[in-house]
Amino acid sequence: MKNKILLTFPGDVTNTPIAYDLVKKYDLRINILRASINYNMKGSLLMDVEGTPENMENAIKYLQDEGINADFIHPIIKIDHDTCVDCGLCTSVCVSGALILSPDDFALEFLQDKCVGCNLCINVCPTKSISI
Amino acid sequence: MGVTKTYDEINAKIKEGKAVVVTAEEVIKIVQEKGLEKATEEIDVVTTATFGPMCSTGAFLNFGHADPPIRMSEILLNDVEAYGGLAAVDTYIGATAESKTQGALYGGAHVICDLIAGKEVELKAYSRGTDCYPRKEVKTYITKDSLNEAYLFNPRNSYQNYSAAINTSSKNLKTYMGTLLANKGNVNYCTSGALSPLFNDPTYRTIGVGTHIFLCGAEGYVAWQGTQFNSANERDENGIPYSPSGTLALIGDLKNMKSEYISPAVFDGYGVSMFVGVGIPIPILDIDMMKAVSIDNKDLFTNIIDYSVEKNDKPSLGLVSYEQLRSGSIELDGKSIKTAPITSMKKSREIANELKDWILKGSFVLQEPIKLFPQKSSLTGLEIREATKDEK
Ligand code: SF4
Ligand code: SF4
Repeated sequence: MKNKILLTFPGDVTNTPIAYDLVKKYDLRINILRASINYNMKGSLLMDVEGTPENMENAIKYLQDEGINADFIHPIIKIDHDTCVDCGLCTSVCVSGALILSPDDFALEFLQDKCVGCNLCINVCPTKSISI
Repeated sequence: MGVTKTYDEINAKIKEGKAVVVTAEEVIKIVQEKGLEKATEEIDVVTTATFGPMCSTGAFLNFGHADPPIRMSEILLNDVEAYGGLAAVDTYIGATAESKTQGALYGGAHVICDLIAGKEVELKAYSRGTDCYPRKEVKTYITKDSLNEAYLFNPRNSYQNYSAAINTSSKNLKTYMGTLLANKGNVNYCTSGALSPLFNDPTYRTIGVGTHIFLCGAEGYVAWQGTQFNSANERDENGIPYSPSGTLALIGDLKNMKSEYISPAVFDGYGVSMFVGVGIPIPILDIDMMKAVSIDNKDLFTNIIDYSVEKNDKPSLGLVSYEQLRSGSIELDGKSIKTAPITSMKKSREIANELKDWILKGSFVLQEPIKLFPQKSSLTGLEIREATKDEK
């Protein structure tokens, strides 16, 4: 499982070796996409994290216990309309109602605002038209 | 008895560009407005269509002979096994066969679609070698143009009705009906409802052996009744079955097929299948035929079957209309359950319209069936048993 995580941390914990801990303690593969520190010594870190869902959950808990704001950034799915056949099967697992069939012409519609990033639709699509 | 028309009369009109053709959805409104009799007079042909996953799909191919020639007994197309038990360079590749190297990510359905798209496909074949076919191995590349013949032959397509699927167990199920969420989390269903071919000719008056059809953008024919043809099922007063009944074996020219009307399908945890686009024209021979094609989704029912029961004969939780299924949710035991289709209505409509255009342009004429399907054909299961004792 791969996810993007955004961390924002107050100045006093900027020195915690987070990246080291994530790799060592939670067996995660990380790839830092953006890092910044502002003049208050408050920092933010955006990274790709790969590992088991369990380890990721635990890592988030650990970060929060360290006083860091940590959360998943839900990647937004993309639909390849060249291969999508508008079957509608992906709508069956989309509980948030982000994927719907238009009532007029039964074309697949993606309402991005409603997507909660569960990614359930990706494997369900029989034509492999959904990706992150 | 009101107006009657023959195939010859309708075909003559088609050739003159005077035939009146509408889709099986458009006809519903016309009949409501004008009545059955007037509609029968005015309309000559109604087009039906479906675009859903049909596992029993495949293609016959002939590769031509290499020099020196080989009698292929083991055949791989892009690492997907094709049948090696026919003549030297004939094969049949089935849609559900999976790649030896990529597994369910690539299968026979992908090979067929790659050929249709004009792509090069790797052919590896092996043989023990014979006096007349000395070569033991080939590795080369083929395209649809390099093949002598390439035609789809699908033993079972276009099911007349199909059960909707639900899961009453506490764990999600991955099936060819998609992912069925635990505790009746969703209902998935197939068929294009009022547009579906065999719903519009429930007693097989005009769809039989030899019927001229649209198959994946090319012309094709109904070759025979489909496998598991089960016409003896219980039916309503219009002759429409409540459960999967008639099926069609279809044949069509792969070389002229269009990628937009056929697609590989990979069902998570199940494997490879294929979306097949089928369009079938129905001649309005008389008022009874017009009555048959004017059915609406509210008149069509199917069973909701519990896929968590690991038996061939799965229990039904009740009947539901296609109108209810299409609405996006149904009520079951006081609970609202989300419904989702697997058959593409959008593609089905495109096909019905495309076939309509072909007929309006005069480039597609109707063929009367040369043999009709049996009305009371039922299924047998597979008995698991020991050999009969007295057979030595
Ligand atoms: S399941 Fe895939 S092919 Fe079907 S409508 Fe959704 S994105 Fe399109
Ligand atoms: S990721 Fe989840 S919420 Fe977003 S569209 Fe797919 S199924 Fe719906």
